[in-house]
Amino acid sequence: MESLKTYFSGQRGVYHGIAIAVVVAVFALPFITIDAYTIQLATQALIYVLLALGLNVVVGYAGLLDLGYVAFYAVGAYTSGILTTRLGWPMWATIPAVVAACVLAGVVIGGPTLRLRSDYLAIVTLGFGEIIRVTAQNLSITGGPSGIFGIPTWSFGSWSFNDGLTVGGLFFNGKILLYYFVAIVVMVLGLIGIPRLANGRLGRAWRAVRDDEDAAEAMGVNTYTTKITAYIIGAVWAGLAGQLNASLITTISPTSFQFLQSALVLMAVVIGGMGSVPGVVLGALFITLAPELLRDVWENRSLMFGILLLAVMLFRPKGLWPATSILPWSRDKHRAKVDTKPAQARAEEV
Amino acid sequence: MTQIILNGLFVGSFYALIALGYSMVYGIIKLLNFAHGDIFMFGAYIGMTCLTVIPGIGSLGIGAIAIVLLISALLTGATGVLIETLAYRPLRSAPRLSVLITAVGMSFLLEYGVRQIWGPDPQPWPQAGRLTEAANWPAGLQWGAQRIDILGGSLTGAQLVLMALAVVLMAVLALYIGKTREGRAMRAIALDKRAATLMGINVNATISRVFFIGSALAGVAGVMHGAYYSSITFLMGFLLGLKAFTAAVIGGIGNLYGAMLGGLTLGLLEAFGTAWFGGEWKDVFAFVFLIAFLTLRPTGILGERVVERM
Amino acid sequence: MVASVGGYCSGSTLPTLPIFDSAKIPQLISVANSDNLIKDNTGNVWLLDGTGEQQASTAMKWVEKNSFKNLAVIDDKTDYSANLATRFTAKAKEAGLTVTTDSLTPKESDFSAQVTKVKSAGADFVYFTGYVQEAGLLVKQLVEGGYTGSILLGDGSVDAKVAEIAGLANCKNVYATYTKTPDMLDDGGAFAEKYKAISGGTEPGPYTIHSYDTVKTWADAATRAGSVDQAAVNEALKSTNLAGLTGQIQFTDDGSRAGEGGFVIVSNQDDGTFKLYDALS
Repeated sequence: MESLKTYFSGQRGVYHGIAIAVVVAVFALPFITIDAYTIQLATQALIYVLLALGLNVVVGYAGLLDLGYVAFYAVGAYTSGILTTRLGWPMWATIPAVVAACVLAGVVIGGPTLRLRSDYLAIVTLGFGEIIRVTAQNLSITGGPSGIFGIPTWSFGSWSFNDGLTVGGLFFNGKILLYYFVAIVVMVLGLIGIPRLANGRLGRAWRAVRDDEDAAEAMGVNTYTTKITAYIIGAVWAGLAGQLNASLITTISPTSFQFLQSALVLMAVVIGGMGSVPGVVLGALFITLAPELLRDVWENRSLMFGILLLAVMLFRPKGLWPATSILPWSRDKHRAKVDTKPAQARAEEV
Repeated sequence: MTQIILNGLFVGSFYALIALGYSMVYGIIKLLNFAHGDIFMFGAYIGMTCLTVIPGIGSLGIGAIAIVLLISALLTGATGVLIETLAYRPLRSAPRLSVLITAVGMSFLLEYGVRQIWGPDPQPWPQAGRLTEAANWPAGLQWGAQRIDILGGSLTGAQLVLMALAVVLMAVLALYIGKTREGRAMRAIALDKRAATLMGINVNATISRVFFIGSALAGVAGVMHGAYYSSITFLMGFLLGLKAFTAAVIGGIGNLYGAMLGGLTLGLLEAFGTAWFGGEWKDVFAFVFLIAFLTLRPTGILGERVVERM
Repeated sequence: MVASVGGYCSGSTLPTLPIFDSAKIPQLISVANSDNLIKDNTGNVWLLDGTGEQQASTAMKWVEKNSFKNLAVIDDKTDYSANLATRFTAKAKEAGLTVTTDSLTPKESDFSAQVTKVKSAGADFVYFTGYVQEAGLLVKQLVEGGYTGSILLGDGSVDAKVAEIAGLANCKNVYATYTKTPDMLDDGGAFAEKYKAISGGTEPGPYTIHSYDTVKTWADAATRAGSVDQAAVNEALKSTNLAGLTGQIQFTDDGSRAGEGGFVIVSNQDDGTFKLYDALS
């Protein structure tokens, strides 16, 4: 008992404690309410968490401002949509195709531009986002302006989620099964996979490149491959999120892939805390749930977001739940504060 | 064929005016002012409001447009300075990422702030301020809607007036940067900010001046856009801003002549692109060119004038 | 939910179909008129407005009546617009006329490329199937660009704003295909008066009588079926034969409105608002 208590009062322990509580809450949700609307909303929120975590790798860890993230989301959605509706593939079989398509897109978009200054990257990624959207709107294979509809949910063999599943006397319908499926995917990929990456060599390389690219290069970090790896991982995560979303809503339309969507996910990452998993999760939950809770104020949410973004950048640039935060009830709160201002800025002050 | 070239040059003039602001700001403080396109839009809205609110302005015809141009230029210039002071200056020593994100936030603020005030629907430009409205031109100088034939193609008088105005503004700017003290100060800061301070240059004031001029030019372009096309909307700056950035890159960022050349080049590229591939591919065409330039010749046609400091 | 009454714009209505379909809810669509809406109809979708096919036929009749020879068709790549444009182009080609097609991007302002294409093709007739904002800009740029032919707009562009943007002087040759509106009713304004009394002074909008007819159709079917059960109402809707404000309401086997769709030609030459010009019957 003593060692458990000591464990959970340390910084890492606190995080793990919170994570466990969240996991339990997520899995318990369908037992609290099976209202279809709530389940759908919760599933959507989880997908946005995955999306935000992916962008977090690109923006938060590697410091690459990607303003066209929605392009990869679209690639994943359309790839799975086209293969399932036009060629009749089962949803799980499209996963490798989605991954491949996103890797390809990441290389095509990132390849030429990651060599250049970070400022250019922002505009170019925005341009790519628009290219993908307009192309999807103009071609007939992507359904043109009406998009694709009638996308099936996940099926394995002849059993699909929509058939439902009875476990231990309880019947779970298609929507709930999809919810659990998404939750598991998000947790494995996002909450376990990404922090592991971030704490390893690759993560450290990302942070080195983000803080001072020239110094990183001098230390032997191959900045180009580091950046493009981050970019591709982000792309694949977004593609999978797109696929999940397509199977949830059953339709895809080019109007859901506008710049505003990229900006929303960016805001989730920035306002939540760049490079911080719990922060980003909070941010993602905020942008999905706030529209539902603040319906009236929401009419001009973009204005609100603009103001929020500015406020955060000017007054709390590390976000609501910064990556280096020490939680108040952790016993580590008295340890020395780490100076996280990037080297370049410090040098300029001299 | 000539018509396509003329169309391209006309649209290119707008791109050039907006690209100038982008280029100037980038040259001096290495910031891509994401909100610059929205300042163009804001200028248009100010112009429209002036035309409706100022009493008796309708009777001045073309003179009204000129007055409104001036007012809008001053007000958008001031807005640019305000934005710089409140949002960008505090973050001058922050990582680049933060400033870029701030610019994105500012862009949203301008776009949706305008939407909040003037509504989401496109606004028709007041009749009194329309360049092609015959009633606005003095009798005997009815150039507005008159088509003038040039080597096989034709342009309206209004279009020629606008293009001439753009050329004049660019020439004045070139003279300013090249010959005046303030212009030299700008070039000095672009080369080496610290050395410029040591030489006694007031960096903050100069940067404010750059923002003022760049934003004023964008504001003028906004009023011109409204006066010619007769309709404005709160999102019109978004796409144009991106295209203007593309133009700046094509010409060579940080380079004033590059911005002008880039603007015209982009206009021409788009005109030919849509003629060959169809109207729906216009934006894709422009962005593909952006990426091509950044990959193959990132310094642009005329080469850029920014110094990468170690 | 017993029924869905509504559906303004085809692009946003289409994705809702499979969802309502899976619950077999009768979906009465008052205004959206893309033919894609009834393509996969399994018996629960009912279109009250004329379809793109019917509107294109009306446009074709107009072309034939005026003997236009060289046509240009411009759409904006949205679902409703592309559908109407494709159908019209097919009919025009069938009739052996020259057709040039192009698309424009909505939310843009400069359409000089499209104008140049129209002029170099030597067209004497342009059919634009997009929405109000672009219609105004396009008309202005066409006429100022030296185009002297006739312009026809789709029903999505029918609004006084077109003349506001384009300038009334440029609308001398502007017409549109449109369905009947309250001011075209020959009841002497009685409907409009009753509407204003109930709505607290608001005038009926351009699609008010469509909405009115749609709800009335459902009520009629439910009365005949004797219940609001979805399946019973769907069954009863098949045999609808009701006198509505937009004309006699009957449905064909695929759920679309029987008859010509009630399209007429309107024009905005007098004062900028679109008024009945030619009933083309």
